[in-house]
Amino acid sequence: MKFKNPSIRTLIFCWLALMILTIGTMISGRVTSDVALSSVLIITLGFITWFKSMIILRYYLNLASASTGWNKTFNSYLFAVLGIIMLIFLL
Amino acid sequence: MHNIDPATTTVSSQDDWGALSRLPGNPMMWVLIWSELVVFGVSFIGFAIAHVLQPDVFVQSQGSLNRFLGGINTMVLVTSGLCAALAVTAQHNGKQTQMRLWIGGAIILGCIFLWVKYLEYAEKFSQGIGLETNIFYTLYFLLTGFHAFHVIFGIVILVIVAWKNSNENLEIGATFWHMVDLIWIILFPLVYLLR
Repeated sequence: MKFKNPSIRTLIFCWLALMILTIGTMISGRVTSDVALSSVLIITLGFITWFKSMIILRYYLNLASASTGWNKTFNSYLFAVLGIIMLIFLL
Repeated sequence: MHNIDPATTTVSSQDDWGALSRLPGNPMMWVLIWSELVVFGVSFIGFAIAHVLQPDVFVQSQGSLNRFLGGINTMVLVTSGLCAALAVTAQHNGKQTQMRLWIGGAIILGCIFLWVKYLEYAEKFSQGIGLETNIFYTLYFLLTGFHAFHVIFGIVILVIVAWKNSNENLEIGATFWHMVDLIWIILFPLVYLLR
């Protein structure tokens, strides 16, 4: 399948989103403090990480132009890995 | 009996790769991405299990990491990913000089990431902390070190594709770079933040 790069505007928008979400990760993960993270913060971290992974896969790795099946497979795999990790930390 | 001439046998994104043909770019790259995601995925789950088994060791050791610097390094790698993506766009538009500038930007940012990693490791080694200090540091050095090797390899690939700059070469190089980015996006919160 031919590689179709997203537009420059889309790439820059994705970068901005990734930067904002990274700041979100740093705030949720309390980078300047040693206190334990609450369940809400752990779940928030998990969802932000999953969302960031999706942006890189869909736009930078261009998975958006692939079939729905491949998109669902990658989404589900990352959701499962992150879900297992979050569950382990929440237990 | 069929005679196959190795000189004319190449892996191309235009060949029929079954379901893999429905993925953008070279299918072999996606085979690599899947293998990397599986290897790192299993390692990440292993790290989380080890954390639960020895919470005190993990929380105390994790506290010695510079979380803020880890976050800044994430931004550096994400920005280098943008440079790589813009290099592919410039190549598709036939703008060779612009493409090389973007690739150069991605490489410089990759080097900054490695430099920060070096500072982090040097600080730990100067405190007498190493691979065998405890289970946290063993996994920390193995996971971040394995990822750093990917960054070094990615930089070498980016140099090669900037030189041998066909559309397909550049797409493969950028894809590898984004994969390295993707792995760090998950590694950072797991190793530095979750507690």
